[in-house]
Amino acid sequence: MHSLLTRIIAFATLLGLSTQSFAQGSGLDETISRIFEPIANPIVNVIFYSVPIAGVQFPLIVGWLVICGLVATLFFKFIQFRGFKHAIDLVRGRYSKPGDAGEVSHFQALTTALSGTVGLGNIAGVAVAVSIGGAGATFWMILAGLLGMASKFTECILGQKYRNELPDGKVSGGPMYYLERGLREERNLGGLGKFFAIVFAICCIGGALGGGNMFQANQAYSQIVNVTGGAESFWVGKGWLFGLLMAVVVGSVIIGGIKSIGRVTEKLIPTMAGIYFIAGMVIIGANIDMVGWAFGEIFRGAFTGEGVVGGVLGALIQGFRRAAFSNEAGIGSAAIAHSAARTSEPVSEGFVALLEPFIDTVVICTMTALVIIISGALLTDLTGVELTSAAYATVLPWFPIVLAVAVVLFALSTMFAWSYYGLKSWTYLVGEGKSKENAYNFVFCLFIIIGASMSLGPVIDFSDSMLFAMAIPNIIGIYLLLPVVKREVNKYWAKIESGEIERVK
Amino acid sequence: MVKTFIVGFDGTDACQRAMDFAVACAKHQSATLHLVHVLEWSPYKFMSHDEMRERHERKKQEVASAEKFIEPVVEKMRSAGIEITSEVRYGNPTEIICEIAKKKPDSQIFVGRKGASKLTKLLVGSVGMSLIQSSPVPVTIVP
Amino acid sequence: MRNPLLLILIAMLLLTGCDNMRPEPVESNLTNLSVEALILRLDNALQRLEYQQGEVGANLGRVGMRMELRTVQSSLEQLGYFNGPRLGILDDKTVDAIDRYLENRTSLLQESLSQ
Repeated sequence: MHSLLTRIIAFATLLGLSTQSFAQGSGLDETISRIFEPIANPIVNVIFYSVPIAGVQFPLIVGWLVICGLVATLFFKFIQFRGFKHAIDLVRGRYSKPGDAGEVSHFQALTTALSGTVGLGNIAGVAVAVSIGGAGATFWMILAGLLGMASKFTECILGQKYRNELPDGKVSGGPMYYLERGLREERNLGGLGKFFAIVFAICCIGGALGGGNMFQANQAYSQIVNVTGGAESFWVGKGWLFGLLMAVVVGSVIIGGIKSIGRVTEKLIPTMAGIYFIAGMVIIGANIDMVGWAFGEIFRGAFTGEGVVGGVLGALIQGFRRAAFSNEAGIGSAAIAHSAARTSEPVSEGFVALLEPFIDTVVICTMTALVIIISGALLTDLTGVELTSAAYATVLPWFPIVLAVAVVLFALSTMFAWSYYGLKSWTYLVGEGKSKENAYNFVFCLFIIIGASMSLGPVIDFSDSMLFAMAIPNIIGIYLLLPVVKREVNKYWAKIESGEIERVK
Repeated sequence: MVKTFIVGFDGTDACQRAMDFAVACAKHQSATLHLVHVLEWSPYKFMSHDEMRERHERKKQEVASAEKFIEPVVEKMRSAGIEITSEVRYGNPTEIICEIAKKKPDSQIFVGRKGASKLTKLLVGSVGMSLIQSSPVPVTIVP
Repeated sequence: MRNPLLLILIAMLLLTGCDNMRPEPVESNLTNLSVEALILRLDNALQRLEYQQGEVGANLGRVGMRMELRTVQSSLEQLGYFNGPRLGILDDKTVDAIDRYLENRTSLLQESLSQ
């Protein structure tokens, strides 16, 4: 294991040294962008195929995600509101049997899944949404979060129902499995299911490289530059170097097998999220008299679009996009994460998952947006993590440094989570095997360097397109399997009513 | 009515002493022994993704290894003519032992004391101390 | 039991060193750019947007492209050609501002260089 690691580090250093001399003229970051962008652009343009509506280019894929949330909400008759209390009860352990002790509890499944989704999407993504969409984007973001609860509910039940248990006790699940098995068993569409599963797996590898990797690396780098002196920082123009460092850390975990780094990072995430949340609450609390005005701005922006033709739709697009990026509802990644939790009732896992978009988007994203609006930082030119950082700094001047630490940890933990999702898809496609897995892991590390080197605009486009591409096969699968989920949910409610699933406390 | 002596058992010296004492008492009062091995577990502790994925297997292993070390002790006692039962449970030691005590009529609890320093006692709090405060039945702490 | 205490402790730590909890006005480095730098930024952004006679060639459904347009809007605002909300939407006001800027670009550049 260790020899492998030293080889990676040696290779990385060599790569760094050799390219340094090569890049002396124009800057390695620019070179990387210039090579990567022409490859990414056609893909981005296809996925974000847009039609002009009311003076704005509307990307169809955003509508695709919204409609899924809407259909799931109506199909399950507003399960996100009806089932909310039940979800809380499940997480509080009110339905856990004594024999479940020692297994992953609902609370743990929720917090672990949350640690995968809470992160830069909530910090930097929201800043992008409000900087481009205006304050009104917040309203649409909240709405998207509420709709997303229903789509996440559906996909996590499917992920649980159609998971594969290997003889060694390990569990594999996720859209690849429910697309393939679900469509074959329920709809007699085996061939189509297999096809969608393969498409999903390919898209998921892309999503892991884009949203789960490049965006994270990019924004972590951006915040490091920000706190080390802005334009005079040592790190300016050295995104590749930062990316290289991140790649070595991530590589040592996913290729070198030094699991402890990953474990420590993940354990720190709840604390980091807690600090971020408390700091936001402190700022909002201290300026509680401005909250009414801020919500006024949000509503005004959401329905008037700042008086710009197409402003409403522009805010809506940004709100929905960033909400989907942050809570990953309809994308399918949550189904992979949740299928690892072992419950006797697939539906109960769906209820727990339903809380994620709520906490992630309705609570945390809204908090970030409120802080940005209250601080007045929205009037500047900043965007991404720099905007959030500046907004927090208006009240807590030292916060950017804490945020820098948090952002790096969030980026790392998201990368670990997504490297797993990507790897699952990769092994689904090519089969298991050490060398095959390491080939994927190596590419994954390479994309960290690319992500850190490029500027936010192209990175966010590429990450979004890769991530949202996953939604195409996944949502088709969700639609086709909705009746199955309905049946399961009805059975589950019947069991609750008959007392077969007993309330313990 | 048969008395049950519940012994908190985790294989340490202190527990061994508690066990010996309980055995001595049991011989006098013709009571049965019940060994309880509690694996520390909280459903609210944060888990990493890897831990979550491995949890089920890990639980099986933990239970198996716990039973492996508790089994010889039980066998030895049984061959010495003492009526003894055992169980392995997950959870908070104090809560679990109290719960078992509530279900067994006329029981007593025997636990060992590790003799920790003042500081650790202050921070961690011992199982013995919390048992004294919350146990529904008499508790014997064996030093 | 110890967790709520810990949270309160963190909250108190957060508050130390902040006597004024009101947001202070933010100054971004990007608002103090020289005219040359602004022109450079505009040129780059317009090129990426593939702007030609009131139309952009790039797909404005992409966030990145809307960010570019927002850069254009904010640069134009600093040069005094635009004063609307910077939402990255290509409305008539923006097109008008860009066209007026393009007309004056050469003279602006000469002015700033001669200074």
